[in-house]
Amino acid sequence: MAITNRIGKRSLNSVSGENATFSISQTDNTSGTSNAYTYINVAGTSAGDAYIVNSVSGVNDWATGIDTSDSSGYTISKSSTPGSTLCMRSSAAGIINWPLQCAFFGYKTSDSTNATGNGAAFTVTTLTESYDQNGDFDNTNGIFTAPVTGIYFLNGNVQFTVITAAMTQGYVQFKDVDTLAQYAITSVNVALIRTIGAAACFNVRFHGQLTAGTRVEMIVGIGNGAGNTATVSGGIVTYFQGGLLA
Amino acid sequence: MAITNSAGNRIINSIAGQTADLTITNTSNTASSSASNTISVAGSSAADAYIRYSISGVQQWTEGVDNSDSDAYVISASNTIGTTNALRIATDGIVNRPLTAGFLAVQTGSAANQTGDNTTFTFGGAGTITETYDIGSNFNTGTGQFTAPVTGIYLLSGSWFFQDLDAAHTIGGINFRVAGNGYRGWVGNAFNWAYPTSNFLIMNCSLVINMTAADVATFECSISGGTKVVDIGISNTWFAGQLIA
Repeated sequence: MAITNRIGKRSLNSVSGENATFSISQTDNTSGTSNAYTYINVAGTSAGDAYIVNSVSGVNDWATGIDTSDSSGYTISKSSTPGSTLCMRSSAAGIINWPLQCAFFGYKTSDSTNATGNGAAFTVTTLTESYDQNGDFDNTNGIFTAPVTGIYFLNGNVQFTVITAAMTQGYVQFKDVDTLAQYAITSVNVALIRTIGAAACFNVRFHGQLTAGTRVEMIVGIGNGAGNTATVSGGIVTYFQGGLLA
Repeated sequence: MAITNSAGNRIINSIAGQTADLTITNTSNTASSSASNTISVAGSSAADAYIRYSISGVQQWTEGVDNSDSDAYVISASNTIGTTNALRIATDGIVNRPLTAGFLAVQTGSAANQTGDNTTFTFGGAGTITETYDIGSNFNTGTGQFTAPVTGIYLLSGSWFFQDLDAAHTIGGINFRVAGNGYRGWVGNAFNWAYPTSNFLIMNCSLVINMTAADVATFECSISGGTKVVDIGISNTWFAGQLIA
């Protein structure tokens, strides 16, 4: 059955190749108050929600509109109910959150002694997650996997201790797990910048495009020492974080 | 001709100063008493479920479910959903803003003897720089300048690869310059920080900064205390920016 409005457009349609549409038109082009809009209204804060559902039947629903029970914020949700599987929320003040956006922070859980110093490359693994909004960070193996192609920002920080005077070459880098390509590096003379506890702390940043599925790890190391006797510190001094910007 | 619904609102209107309005109202102020508008297609073999906003002959926007793009929710600056996407949210909640201003440029041709004697070198000032991407074409490879297309909050990042440092190069600094103001990213004894045998140093920094439309950002460095023999190396020298809010 097709339901047709007074200008002949079918709002309920089962004819193959035709659209089901509902049009709201103001044909006057002379006045700044000649608007066209849809107004969806509930009675107050004790009522339900005011929203639109876009649906591919039986596959996926998206709801956009006001979630009355969430301080009347404007939401975009991957479901037929505002606030359920919330993807975007704007407060009434206009502050926007993306609760499922790719973003992660992992810090090294504990010290690793005798990790580097004479050229050994140390992959930062066994991290504690502060957050991992979309589950893209493997904190056991220290690997971030880009969920979609986009622009990402990655930030890594390392602290070494037990640095000797001979340990002059220190670095922290982001590297592709599969191609071994280097995305970013910071390299410094850690022997000369070491401070109390024979410690040195510095960071590296990546800001650029990653293709979906790209896997990135953080590798640190020191060279020129007599042995691999330096420590990679645990705690929120050695960490790997990042997220999708656009 | 005006078409008027049962609540008296005109859905097609030609009267100057009036609104064409579809109102969906639930007057009960009790829990679960919602008001909604459902736009539905029959399944994955069908087309899209969307809303279109139109300023006739000027600009159109569409928003809704792009069936042919894995059912992502998109907002498109066109009359066709999925064309000129400004926002795309995948069904797992991952958000892309494919047209939001951003760039990455990399030094691909080295620039010899650019600093060391307190000369300030600006990214793009010598050698070849190559854009990896430049969404919106706001970066100038000839000048190394990024010009903000709109007022907003930007993330700027950059890295310098210094080569041929010697013991006299005791002062080093890197900074962003935005609308004429310098924002320091690092300062230190460049030679002490450098690798001792190869005498090179790679340093990077980032800045979150409010830029007004047409403000210009550049990335600068200087090495002092010695002679002008410090080279700017390739690959690890780069400058990036992104509008984030």
